[in-house]
Amino acid sequence: MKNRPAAANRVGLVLVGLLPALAGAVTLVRALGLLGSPDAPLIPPEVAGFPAGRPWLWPAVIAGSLVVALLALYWLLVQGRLDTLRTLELEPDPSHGTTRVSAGAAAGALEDDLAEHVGGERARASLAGAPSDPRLAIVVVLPDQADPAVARQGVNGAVARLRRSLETDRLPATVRMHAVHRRM
Amino acid sequence: MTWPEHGITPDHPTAAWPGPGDAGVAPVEGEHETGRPPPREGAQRRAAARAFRPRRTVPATVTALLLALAALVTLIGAVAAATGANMRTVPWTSFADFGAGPVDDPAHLAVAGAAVVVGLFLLGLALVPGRTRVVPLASDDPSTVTGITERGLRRHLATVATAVDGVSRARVKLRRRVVHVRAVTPLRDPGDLPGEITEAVGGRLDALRPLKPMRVHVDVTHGGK
Repeated sequence: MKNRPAAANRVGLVLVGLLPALAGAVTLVRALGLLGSPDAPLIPPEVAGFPAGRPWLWPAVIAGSLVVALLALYWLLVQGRLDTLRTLELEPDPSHGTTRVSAGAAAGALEDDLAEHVGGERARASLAGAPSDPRLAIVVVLPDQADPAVARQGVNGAVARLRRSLETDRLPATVRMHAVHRRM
Repeated sequence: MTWPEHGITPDHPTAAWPGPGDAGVAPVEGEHETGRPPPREGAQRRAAARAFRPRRTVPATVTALLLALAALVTLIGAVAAATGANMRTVPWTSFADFGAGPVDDPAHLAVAGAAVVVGLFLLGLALVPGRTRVVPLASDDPSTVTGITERGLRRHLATVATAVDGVSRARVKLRRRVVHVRAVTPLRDPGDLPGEITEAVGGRLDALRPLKPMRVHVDVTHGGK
């Protein structure tokens, strides 16, 4: 799965967006008189009277709204997390067992390496994706005098060193550089 | 072997790409074209577009919050209806009165119109890829996607332009494929200043190798220190 939170956000926005768009469109079409009389009540009496004599309805609504509320809260919590990994499982052949490495330790080592070899104002690294197929995300903030082309080479070197120390050759990385104004 | 994330084979290093020095050096009338399009540029561009696509975090957060609130209000109402308890937290009777009115009531039309607008807006946010605020750069490592934020690139190139002798201030704007530099000089006769600025900024761009080649356009105006 690539870029899970971003894809989930777009799916969620489609699902939530369809509801008001369709409800509003149906109401406007009904007001034009295309679906029955425009004088009919907004909520037809059959719908308003539906719960009467159906004792199972409200518990069902309670359960349904609880599920929606929990899903919405989960969606909210996922925003801050961005599927950061806890452990890496790096072994090209799973039949030889797995080697678990702490993702935080790997990211921390890379940040130290970046601070030493790239410099700059800040460097952040995090690992996301699946434990057996991790992806690396790096953010480097440079002073505006620093040459980003040089920084890119430094970052590539640091990523290569991390790959070597993890004994893996498949750690795709995304590097985002930014420059900030620094008063001399 | 193909990288699942990037669709790039690791067996084709990018040694054939133009280095910092060997792309067009001579500025032609204030315009400067950076490097030839490198091989596998399309794959890198697609990988960069995927990696830097906006995540829609802010609209997703707002929507999730409102959805949770709506579900909670529904929950309270359903509990009230099921138990017969009178929960005065939500004005249910005014909701019921609102729903009992005719469809073509102006208030209904206004609410329905607003609902359509909000719904289409959310669908647009979901379905439109969105503009990235990152300029993708070529990368020597095929499994690495590199980019610089537009603001970062603007700041850096402005610093490069300001470092040219005779420039007191410089501002940079990024268009789709043009870097627009507006420099201010205290010199009465700017001479070849536009050419020098173009060379400095263009040289830096050559070193950065943006995946979409960018031309440099320089305007020099006379102004006090």
